[in-house]
Amino acid sequence: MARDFCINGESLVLVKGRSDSSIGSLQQLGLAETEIRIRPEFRHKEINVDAWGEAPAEIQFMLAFVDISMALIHVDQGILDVCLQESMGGAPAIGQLTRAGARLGNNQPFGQAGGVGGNHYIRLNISSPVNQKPYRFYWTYMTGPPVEIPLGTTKSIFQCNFRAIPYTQDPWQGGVGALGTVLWDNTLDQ
Amino acid sequence: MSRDWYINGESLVTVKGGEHLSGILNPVVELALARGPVTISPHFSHKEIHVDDFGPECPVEVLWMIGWLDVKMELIHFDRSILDYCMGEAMGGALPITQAGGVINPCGLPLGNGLPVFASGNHYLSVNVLSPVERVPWRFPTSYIPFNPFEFPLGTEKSVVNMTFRAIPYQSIYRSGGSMLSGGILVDGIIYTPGEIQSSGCLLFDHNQDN
Repeated sequence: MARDFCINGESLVLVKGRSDSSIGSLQQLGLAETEIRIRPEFRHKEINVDAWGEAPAEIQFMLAFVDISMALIHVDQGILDVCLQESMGGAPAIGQLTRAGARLGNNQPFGQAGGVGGNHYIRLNISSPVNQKPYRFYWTYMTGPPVEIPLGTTKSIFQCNFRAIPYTQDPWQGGVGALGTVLWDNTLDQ
Repeated sequence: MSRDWYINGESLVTVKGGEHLSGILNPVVELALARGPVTISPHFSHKEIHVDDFGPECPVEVLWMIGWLDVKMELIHFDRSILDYCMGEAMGGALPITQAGGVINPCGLPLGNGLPVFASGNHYLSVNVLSPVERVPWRFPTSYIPFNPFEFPLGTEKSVVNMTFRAIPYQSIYRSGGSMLSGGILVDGIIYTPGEIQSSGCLLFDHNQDN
C-alpha cells in the first residue's frame, strides 16, 4: 500500500444491537459536525528487575480498549436514546435506570434478545465512503460522559462518547485467553 | 534451563474428586479463573537438634518433618455449583450447600478414609492450576478447603470469592499394584492393594494435570 493522504469522507455513524430493541437491525445514528476521533488505549505492564535499575527490562501487553468520541449534529434522537438505554444495561425507558450492577453482556452473544437479560453491547459502525476503510467496533457502550446535550435556540450538537472493550463470555477460551478477540475490524455491518 | 521471566498465563483452576462424584467432580472439571495471581505457599516443618556444645540457640542439625501447601486465590469467574461441591467434600462429603442448606456431617469424619485418591469415599480433591504460557501446570492431588474456607461478598458488584485450598501429604493404606484377588480395589483404572502408611514417596504436588 503506497503513501497517500487519508480522507475518510462523509463519516456516517451506524449502530446495531440487541435484536429485540429498536437497534436490532443496523440503524443510522448520525453525522458529526467535525471529525470522529478514535483513541485506542493500550495497557502495558512493566517488568522491573533490580539489575536493570529504573528502566523496565520487558513489557507485557495487558489488552486494550478504544474510546470513540463524536459531535453529532444531524442525528436520530430516537436511536441515540436507545443507545443510552442500552448503555445503562437495558433501561426500560429513556431517563429511567436499571438496577445497580446490571451487566451489559449478561454472558450472552452479540445481539441476544431477552430484555434486561439480553446482550446490551452496541456494534458501532463508521462509514468510509472515500477512504474505503470503515471501522466497526464490536462491543461498545456510551460512557465517560455518554453524552452532552446543549439546549438553546441554535442547533444542538450532541457530544457523544463510546467505549469499545474486548467483551467475552469466557475469558479462558479453551486456554488461549484473549488471543484473537476482536476489538474492531474494517468491515461494516449489513 | 536458563533464566527468564516466569509468566504462567491464564491460570485456570480445575478440580477432580472421588468416584462417588462421578459426572460432577469426576472426571476433572473447571472451577474458576482468578482475579489476580493464584498464590502457592508451601509450609515446611523442621525440628532442630541442639547440643550444649553449640549453645542454646543454634541447632547442630535439622530434621525434615514434612509439610503442607496453601493455594490461595480470588475466584471471579467461577462455577458456583462446583464450588458448592468442593465445600461439601471439605465437610466430609456433605451434600452441596445449595441442596442441603448447610447441613454438616458428624464430627470426626475422616476425609480420606484410608482410600486411594479418587476412590469412592475419598473426599480429598485434586486441584490443578493450568499453565498455558509457561506450560508448567501445578497439581495438588490431596487437597481440601480448610478452616476459614472462604469469604463470599454479596452485593450489587460481582462477587470475588477469596479462598484457600490446603494440600497435605495424605497417604492411603493402599498401594498401586497387586491383583484384585489379594484384596485389591480398582480406582481410575489402577488396581490398589493394602499396604502400609509411610511418608516416604508421598506426593504433595507435581507438574502434571488431571484428565
